[in-house]
Amino acid sequence: MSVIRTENLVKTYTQGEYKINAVNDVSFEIERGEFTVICGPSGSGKTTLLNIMGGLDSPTSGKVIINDNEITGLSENKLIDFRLKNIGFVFQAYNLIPVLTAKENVGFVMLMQGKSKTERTKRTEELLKAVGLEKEMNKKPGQMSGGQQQRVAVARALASKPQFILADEPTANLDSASTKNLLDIMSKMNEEEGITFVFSTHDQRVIDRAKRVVTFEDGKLISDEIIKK
Amino acid sequence: MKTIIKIAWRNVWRNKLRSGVVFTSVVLGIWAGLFVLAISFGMLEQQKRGMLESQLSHIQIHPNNYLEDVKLNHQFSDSQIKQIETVLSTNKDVVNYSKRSISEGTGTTAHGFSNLKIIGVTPEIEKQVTSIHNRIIKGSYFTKYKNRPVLIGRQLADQLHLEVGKTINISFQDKDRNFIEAGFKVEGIFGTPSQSFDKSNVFIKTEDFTNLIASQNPYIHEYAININASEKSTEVSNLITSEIKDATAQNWAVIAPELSFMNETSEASLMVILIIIVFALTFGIVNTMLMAILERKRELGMMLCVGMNKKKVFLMIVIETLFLALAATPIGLLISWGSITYFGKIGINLDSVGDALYKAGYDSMVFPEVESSAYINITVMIIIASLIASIIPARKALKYNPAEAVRAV
Repeated sequence: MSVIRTENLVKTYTQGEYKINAVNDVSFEIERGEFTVICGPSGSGKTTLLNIMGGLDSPTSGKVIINDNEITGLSENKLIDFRLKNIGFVFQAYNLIPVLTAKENVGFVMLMQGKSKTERTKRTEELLKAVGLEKEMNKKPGQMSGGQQQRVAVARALASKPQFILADEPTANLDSASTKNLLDIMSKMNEEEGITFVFSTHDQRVIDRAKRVVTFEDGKLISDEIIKK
Repeated sequence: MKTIIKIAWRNVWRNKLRSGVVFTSVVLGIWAGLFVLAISFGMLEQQKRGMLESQLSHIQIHPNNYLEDVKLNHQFSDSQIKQIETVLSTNKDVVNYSKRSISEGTGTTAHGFSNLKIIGVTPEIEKQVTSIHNRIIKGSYFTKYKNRPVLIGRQLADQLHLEVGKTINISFQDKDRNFIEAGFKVEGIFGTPSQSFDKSNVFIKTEDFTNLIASQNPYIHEYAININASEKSTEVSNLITSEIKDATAQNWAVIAPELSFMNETSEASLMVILIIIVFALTFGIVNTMLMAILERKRELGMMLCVGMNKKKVFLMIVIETLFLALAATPIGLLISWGSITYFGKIGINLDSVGDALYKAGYDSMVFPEVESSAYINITVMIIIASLIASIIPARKALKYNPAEAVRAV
């Protein structure tokens, strides 16, 4: 069953007299439990596609259907609510709230969802333990390494029990050891808990771990490859 | 909500230097506003008190015909005096009162003359009602000379080159319009904050006044009354008027409308100064918050991405702005209260501009004071200003496109 489906997605930007198709007639599906990498060179449209899939940007035409719900055309407020309930985000620059501890950062999304304190505490501790940060729970982002911060970001993305996680260049700021560690955690969650991950990256270390690699160039999907391991 | 408040509070302390600058400006703004207010209010109150204490008192009663036409023979009748004194002795708000004989006249010396208001008083009784005895800067208060002593103001003394012990010829018309002239010996020179009062008012004894007009009984034209609270003066004066015949009781604001008007206009202009100070602070707060919002673009973008709704983002910025402005407010209020209380006790000596102040009717020693409502007013103003100040950065934050904001450098 597909968790994300795009139908003839087009996103056109106007730059002066020129029109640029950042995403050009893209149709594809992502099944539940996939570990998919969207790759391609800079400017190929992978981040734009990820933004549209995550409801952060709207397409010029075409549809995005998530769990049989079309999200294109939803109002801004409904999209915010939809993201809160359905999508987890991991960003290149971690984007944790610097004034909150790791625990508070992970609990933040659940708080927005209106979860009880008991539930928040329990899940936060479970998630931080899962990403190997049980000892860093009360540290603020400034007191943690980049790798640790990104693991907190993964825990935060998982906190709301989303349908899938969109990770935009999650390893771009990490060293090899931290990248390996992060990918190990994500792979394990994918393998053991069936969590769907969609990456936008050109980092070969991530591509090497993918079960499916979708390649873009000039906004067009040029290859879609299932990796058999 | 608790977490939003927590984030907002912690955000205030993220950039200590920048927040410190805002705090300092808020503290200084509050202090400057309240202290200027206290100095001005103190000067005005001193002037008002000076006028009330030196002559006006809270309420005055005059015969109606005297109010229409100031003449020597428009005095209270014996029955009116009896009636008024019964009313005053039974009114629980009345603290004390003094009877005065009044005539318009002139004062002359070899150096010139001046138009005068000649006020005949019973020294010991007048002492309880007005503070002229405390404002004697040279000489004494009706204790030295038995034969026709007079108290004159310092401005008159300067104008007519008078010193204690010298003589001034005072003349006025009697009830038959005959000129009466007599020499009075200057026993004391008083100095009130009002230059015009010091120039045109002299105090003599009622018995001398009565003797001069060759009357058996004193001519009483005025009752000066002090009550237990200045703010009750309208109520008490209306009550007295309703109980006496052919006479009118007026409170100080009616007798000296310029004093009341000055009080009101000064309060309004001081409020404008406060508003300007708070307005200036608002710009500082807006600027700081805009910088903070710009710096935290990525973080705000992330919050919008992960599902924090716009209402909450808006609320967070508003709360943060309120914290930024209000965290320093208690310190500002405390410093203001401390300095106003301290200088309210020891006073601020403005002798260097004493002449100018005297000409304007103020004492050179200023005792700052402020009504407690001023502290509440400025706090409310800052809350309102902060709420207004928060709107611009909050709206700006809401305009961020989350997808772009999360990638902001």
